[in-house]
Amino acid sequence: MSLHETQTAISEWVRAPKGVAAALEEEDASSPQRESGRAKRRLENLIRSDESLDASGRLGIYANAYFSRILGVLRADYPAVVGMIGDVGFNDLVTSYLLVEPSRSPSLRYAGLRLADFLSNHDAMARTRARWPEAGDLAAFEWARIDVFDAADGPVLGRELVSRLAPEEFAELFLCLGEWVRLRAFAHPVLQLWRAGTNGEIPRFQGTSGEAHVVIWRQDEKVFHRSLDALEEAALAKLSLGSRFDDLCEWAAIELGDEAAPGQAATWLERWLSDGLLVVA
Amino acid sequence: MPAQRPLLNLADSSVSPARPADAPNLGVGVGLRTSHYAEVLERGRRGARGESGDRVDDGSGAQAVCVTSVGVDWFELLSENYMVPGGRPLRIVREMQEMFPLALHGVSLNIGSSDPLRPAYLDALDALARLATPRFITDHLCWTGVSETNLHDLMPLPYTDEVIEHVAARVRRVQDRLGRRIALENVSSYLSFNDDAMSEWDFVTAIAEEADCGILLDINNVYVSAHNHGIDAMKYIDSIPAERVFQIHLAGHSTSGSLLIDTHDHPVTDVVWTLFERAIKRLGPVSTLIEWDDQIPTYARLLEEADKARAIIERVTGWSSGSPNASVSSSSKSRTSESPGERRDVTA
Repeated sequence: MSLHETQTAISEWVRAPKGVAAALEEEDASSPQRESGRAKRRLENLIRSDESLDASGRLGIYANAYFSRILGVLRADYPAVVGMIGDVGFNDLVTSYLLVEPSRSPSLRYAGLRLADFLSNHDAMARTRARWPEAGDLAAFEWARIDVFDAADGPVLGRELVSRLAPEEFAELFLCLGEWVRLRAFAHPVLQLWRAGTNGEIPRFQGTSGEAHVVIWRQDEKVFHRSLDALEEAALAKLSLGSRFDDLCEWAAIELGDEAAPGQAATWLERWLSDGLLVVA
Repeated sequence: MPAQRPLLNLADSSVSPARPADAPNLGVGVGLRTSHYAEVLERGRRGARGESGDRVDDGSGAQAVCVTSVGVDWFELLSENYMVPGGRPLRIVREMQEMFPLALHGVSLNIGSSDPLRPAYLDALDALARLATPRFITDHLCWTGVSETNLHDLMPLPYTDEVIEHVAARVRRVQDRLGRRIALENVSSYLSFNDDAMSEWDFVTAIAEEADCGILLDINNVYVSAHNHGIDAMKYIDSIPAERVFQIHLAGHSTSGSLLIDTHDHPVTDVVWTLFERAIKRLGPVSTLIEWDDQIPTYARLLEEADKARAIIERVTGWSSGSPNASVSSSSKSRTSESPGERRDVTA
């Protein structure tokens, strides 16, 4: 066998969801000859057996490590989802996920990158979604928290700088959200579910359905989040594309009226500066 | 189950060779783990303020470093943990780089894969190296994935001439990309191939010679693989060319049925200490690192392991603070006199 053939065979056996022995049986069953024991002979021709352990047992060590290592990382990444669907449910989820989305990144940090999408959209998850319709949103929220933790740094626009600027200077600044800020919209009340899940409670759907707009960000190396009303969410969405504060105020005036807009915009600005969401583009 | 063999006859070991210029003896280090960030950085800052420890010129010309306040001479960072866009991981690298000699140790170079080398990975590693200015860049002599699918494990390679040629060519390309030599670590393994045409030590040596790279000799991995495959750990240690050994790793392992597993969740075992002593007798003082990755103990407990390594190096080679071989050193005698668990920062 070439090196590529050797590595491909080992990779497939190690990643087989039901273990090496089951993978060998399935390989025999799906081969044109349907010859029992053929795959095992292929394995034994490749990997040495001895009196202490046969080839299948030796490869099984790597197979067990493969699943348990990734499972451990994903459990740490998605604690509230684990709390919601339970240990067995999460094991099944990860088994199905890895079949469809094997890790493509050299780093385990990104092994869970597509879990929320898989949970929300893949056909294999239809029954899971039927039982826990909020699980996909919860996973997306937990991933966003991971994502901002080590997102790119940048110069935060702070109160100090703003206070040194003349109003007309500030008005000319083109403002953006920092790389460490994420805006997310969810169909379910993820913040309540997440709080329950990370407090050791089982996150349950309380019937308080409805969209949740959330901003997630990093400040002083800690990850924060808070819910947004529709107007602040829209304002931050504008800023995510870049905007002068004056333009934002003009938009707010259309939405809120000339009287209410300046006060609301000032309140927003104070909060955004305090949270460290803004940068100058 | 392979019979355990008597491991040592130190009398037949030979004299230490000169160290390669790009593989200085940094002394004894530990792998930096998240749970120790706060303590290590605080000890380092206190040392940098002159409240404890020594400021030592490490010979790099880059900066003075403060080592004795943390009880070890250098730290190893797991490369992939810091190959991220920003946030705390990169702040940790910047702070550590200012205070301590560092090594970068990767697990995903995938040097033995039949897949092409990944330019994006090498770019990220190069960027991290520019930030960390490490004394060593190391990874493992193994493959970790194929067809762009990662197993996140250190998979053994067949020991054949074809694989030697394949891997050595890739190592040379990596070294060209990074502009420096790297060192590859022998891995613990639980399987071997019927096609193996040579011993593991001949395979490791051939790649190092062919690629002109270093060997990171993991003594625990030698012992684990020797046990698992019924080979002679002493012969392995004695067969590795001394001038190729850039660094030594020490760690603990676990037992699973008839095999040993490289779990890094226990103290270094007595038999591994014995093998280490044999290696040091033969190699002389080599940068040595304690790895502890799971069930991570207190920093003070980790230092006890580092002190054991230091004591062996000192006893066997006479190396100590101020030794010509020691480009970075520390006042280990003061430290080793302290009671475990009551460690204080040392002022030399």
